[in-house]
Amino acid sequence: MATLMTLVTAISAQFWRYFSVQLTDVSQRSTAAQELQFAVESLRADLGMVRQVTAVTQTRMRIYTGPAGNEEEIDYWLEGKRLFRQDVATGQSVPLAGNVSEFQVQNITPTSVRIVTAVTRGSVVRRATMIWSAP
Amino acid sequence: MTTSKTWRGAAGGFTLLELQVAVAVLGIGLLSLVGLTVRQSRTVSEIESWCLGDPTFYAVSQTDGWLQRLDVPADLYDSAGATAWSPPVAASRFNVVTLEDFQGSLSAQTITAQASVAVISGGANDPVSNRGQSKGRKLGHYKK
Repeated sequence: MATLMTLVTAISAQFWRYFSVQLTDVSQRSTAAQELQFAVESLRADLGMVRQVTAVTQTRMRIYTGPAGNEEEIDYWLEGKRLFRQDVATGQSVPLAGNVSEFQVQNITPTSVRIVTAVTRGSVVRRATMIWSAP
Repeated sequence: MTTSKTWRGAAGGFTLLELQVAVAVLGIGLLSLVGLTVRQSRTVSEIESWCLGDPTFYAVSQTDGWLQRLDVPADLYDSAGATAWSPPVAASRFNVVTLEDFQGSLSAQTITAQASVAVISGGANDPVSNRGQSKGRKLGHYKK
């Protein structure tokens, strides 16, 4: 009986070792994709009626948006592992996404910008590049 | 006065049959967990399919006045063919925007409008109109 119980315990332990790795992987992939989507969708929303985008520094960008007479300036920057969005006029900033390991902004030309956003969660890295050019 | 202990379990432990039933229940539980994990993994694969392989997206801002007022997000394309590197929006592309629903009042902070957008005709570089006429609904809100 004791031998049988030991065998069952050993099989359960092996199973759990495999299972926990799978669960962790699924959780990390899910989180990474979700956080990256938060960042990309927010950028996409702000780029909808944008007039100009410039890289202030390599990790900070400014978006000039809004209809004529109601212009807005929006800043995006990376602080720690969180991507922030700030309405410059009101000074109100909100963290958009966590686990952000990279936020690179580069002016390709005076009217086009490359934005690279990467999210790292554990061993999972998801990266998306957005290229915007003035319409 | 004496009592006789007739319950066997306290002294005899588990029988082999009881142990077999326990192992069978454990096995069924573990198998169902495996099934759940496989299904979850497939769902996550579908969710993350858009961001696998470090994709590059070309963001094209809206140029239509109505779409801008409705705060419609930028269009994202996965190839540069018809976006920022040729004209952002082909000159022969027309958007017909029909206002279908409008909710709001002078005192409300937000106004919600629902409009249908139909893309009619288009040039060779227009990825939308190359698929033929398409219609879509876009819901936006406009802050006063």
